[in-house]
Amino acid sequence: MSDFVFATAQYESGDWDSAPLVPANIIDTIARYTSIDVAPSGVIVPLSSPQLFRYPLVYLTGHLPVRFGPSERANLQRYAERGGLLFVDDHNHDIDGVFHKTATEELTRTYGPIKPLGKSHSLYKSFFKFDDGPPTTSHELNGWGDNLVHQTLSGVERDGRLVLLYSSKDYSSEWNYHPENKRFLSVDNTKFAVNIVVYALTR
Amino acid sequence: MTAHDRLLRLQRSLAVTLVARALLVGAAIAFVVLVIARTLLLPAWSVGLATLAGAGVAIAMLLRVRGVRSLSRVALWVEERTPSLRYSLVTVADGVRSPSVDAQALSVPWWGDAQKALLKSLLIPGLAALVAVALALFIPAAARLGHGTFVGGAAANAKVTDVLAVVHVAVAPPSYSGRAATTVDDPTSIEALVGSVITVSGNGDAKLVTATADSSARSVAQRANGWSLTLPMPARPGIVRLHAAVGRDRLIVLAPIADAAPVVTLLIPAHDTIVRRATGMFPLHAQLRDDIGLRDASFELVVSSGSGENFTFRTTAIARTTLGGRTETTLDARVSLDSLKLEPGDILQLRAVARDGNNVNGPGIGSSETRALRVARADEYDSLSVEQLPPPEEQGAVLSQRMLINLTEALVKRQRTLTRPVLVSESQRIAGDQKKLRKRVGDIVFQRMGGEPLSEEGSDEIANSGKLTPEQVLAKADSVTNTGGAVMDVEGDETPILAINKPLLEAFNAMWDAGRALEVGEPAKALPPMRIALAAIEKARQAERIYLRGKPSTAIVDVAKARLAGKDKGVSSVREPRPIVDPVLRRRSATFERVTSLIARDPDAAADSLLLMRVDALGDAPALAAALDDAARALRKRDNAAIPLAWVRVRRALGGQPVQRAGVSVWEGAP
Repeated sequence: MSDFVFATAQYESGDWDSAPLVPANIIDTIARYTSIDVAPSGVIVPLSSPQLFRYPLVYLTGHLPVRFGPSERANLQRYAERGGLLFVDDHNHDIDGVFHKTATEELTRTYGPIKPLGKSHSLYKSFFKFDDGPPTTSHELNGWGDNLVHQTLSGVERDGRLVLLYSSKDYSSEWNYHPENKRFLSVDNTKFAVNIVVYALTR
Repeated sequence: MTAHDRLLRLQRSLAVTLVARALLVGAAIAFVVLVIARTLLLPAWSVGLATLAGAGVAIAMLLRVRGVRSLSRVALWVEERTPSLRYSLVTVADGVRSPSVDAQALSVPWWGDAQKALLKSLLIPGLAALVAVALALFIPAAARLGHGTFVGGAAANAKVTDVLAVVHVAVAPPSYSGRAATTVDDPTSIEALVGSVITVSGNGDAKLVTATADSSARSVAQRANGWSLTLPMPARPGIVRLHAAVGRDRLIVLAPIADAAPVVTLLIPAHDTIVRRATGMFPLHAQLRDDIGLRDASFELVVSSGSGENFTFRTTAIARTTLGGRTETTLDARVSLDSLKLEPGDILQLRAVARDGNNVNGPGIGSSETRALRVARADEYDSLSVEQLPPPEEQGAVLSQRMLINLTEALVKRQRTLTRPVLVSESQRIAGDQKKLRKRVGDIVFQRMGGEPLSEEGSDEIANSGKLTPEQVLAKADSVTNTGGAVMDVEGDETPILAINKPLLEAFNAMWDAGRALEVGEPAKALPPMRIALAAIEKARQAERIYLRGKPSTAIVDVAKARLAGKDKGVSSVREPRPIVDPVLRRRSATFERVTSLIARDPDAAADSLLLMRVDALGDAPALAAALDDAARALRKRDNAAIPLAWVRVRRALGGQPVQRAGVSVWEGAP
């Protein structure tokens, strides 16, 4: 399997499929800006499945409470040990929301303490340069969710490498549109996804 | 002859030569101006302009003749050409009478050279005048007499012009139309009903005029004050060509107007009908229209009876009405179905028919759509005889589990007031409903699992076997789906079918418990399992809803397209082959271009060509024919303002309306 396949995590609790167009949009962005051999469609992989280890980057999102089962938690720990990057995005964009509270609790239990990433982190320079840190989303700027513009992303590093990337910026809403509609944007707002993918593939 | 005598003779010759030269140059100038004026199609005043120009030049040159009156100046003119005279001739001219001077003045023969010089000075003006006259004579416009533009032609031409100068046309429409006769002067085209009598007339001798229509000669009659030609309006477009002895032909287009057939619309009945018995009165209502006038109308009825290959027909007409030339009216009638004696299987077909008063090439007959009224056969069961039925007994009797719980709770409350037999009877009635509901739940489960719904036998089988454990029911379902194995081992890899149906099976078994308690008259004991069954049903509903929501939509990205390396789909700019131009249209366009180039040289010929094109277009391109008529009329009148507009109309009619094609991007303003 030489192509990069974008994987969306399926977990027992919550609505793991709340942003169904994000995978296609990120695949389109990868094809547009890079020469990475990318598969034209993504896959859905259960967190408890051994198939999780086939994918270097797994995307997880949702609005509802997140509760990992024992098999899911154990699988994620093994996934982190093997170098996989789990990208978690709060679709509520609300640090008082149930997703943020439960997901950070579960992720802390699984990965350890989650720490903010500085603006000089290599994630922001892995492909495109984001000198001001993670790009803002329209949901942040419009005051939806928790009415906050989150300055940084958070994550967990192992051996100088991210194994967990946590976002409260709601990229799931920002990128959840059909790639054909990207032509209507003056500035492509999915460029940061390239950095995440390239980081996951090269670090 | 003395030198003085020779000088006097030369003086006279010089004067005559100068006058002749002035006249020749003036004439040449006048004819050149005339040629230019004719070439530019200038009006009649240009002739006066030419004359004035020629006369002006001639007079200016004649002024020089005054110098010839001085004999000394004549002598100086000779001395200038013969210097060897050493002013002897000037001395003679001054009146000196001396033999030696005279001999010296005659020592050189200067008079011969002077005469040659005079003749030579006439050569170029003479040639110029000849060329100018030749040009004026040979230019086509010079030989034409066009609407008085130039009057410088032969008198005979003026006579011919009078014959066809003004043409009157009288049109008498056919009598049935009731329209009045009309007259028009100098038309290029005549539009009239087919069969109209057209009389073309003009001033002058009929012998000077010949006429043809559709290539056949027509007789021109002599009237008291001119000539006359009478012919009917043909059914197809044609052209009348008037030919005079000298001069241009006149063309008049005959554009026939066809009398349209009446338009009949049957309003009642609005659609076909099927009846079980054909009795009573059947109303008919139709709307009639005609462009000229209606003569009569009626309803036609056709009754067809029989079946297979044996049919008989009866035809009749009712409500025949004379309409007296009205252009729009309605026709009403009522037909008695009893009088038609329609049998089962018979079909009554009816329509309205109207005729106009056209007695030339008619009458035009118009008819409405045909409606059918069919009498149903006895063995026929069609949509009309469907009778509504109440819902089936079992559907109406089935109550929901929540309702059964309410009934049971009410029975428990009344339990103390009831006798035992009444209580058992009431409880067994609820038990029957519970059994029906249980059977429906079982059917749903087994249908979903791919098997047949529980039949009565199956139901009895289950009834006989008693309450099934969940393992037994699922094993039975598994035998239907042929999955095999330990079906209750659902930890981790439970199939969706089992996940949905497990609550329903739980409800199924709970209903069993409730039914048995109700059968023996113990409603209070039946309530707990009944509530368990209701909760299980609710759980099944939720399971179903959650399961369906979990299906994500799939989107496949065209990676090659995103990298701008895909195949060109041509969506934004569809490339369509240009349509092949109609050969007739191409021929007409080419003809029109030739006519356009003819305007400058011969506008009347161009107008005639336009009329011929109009005849050709009248049949299939009425818009083009009308535009050509306007163009020809404007050209005849030399209406310089109307000609370009008429030309644009013709070009648009030839090219058709602009068409917006799919795929062409719409301009939305500057970016």
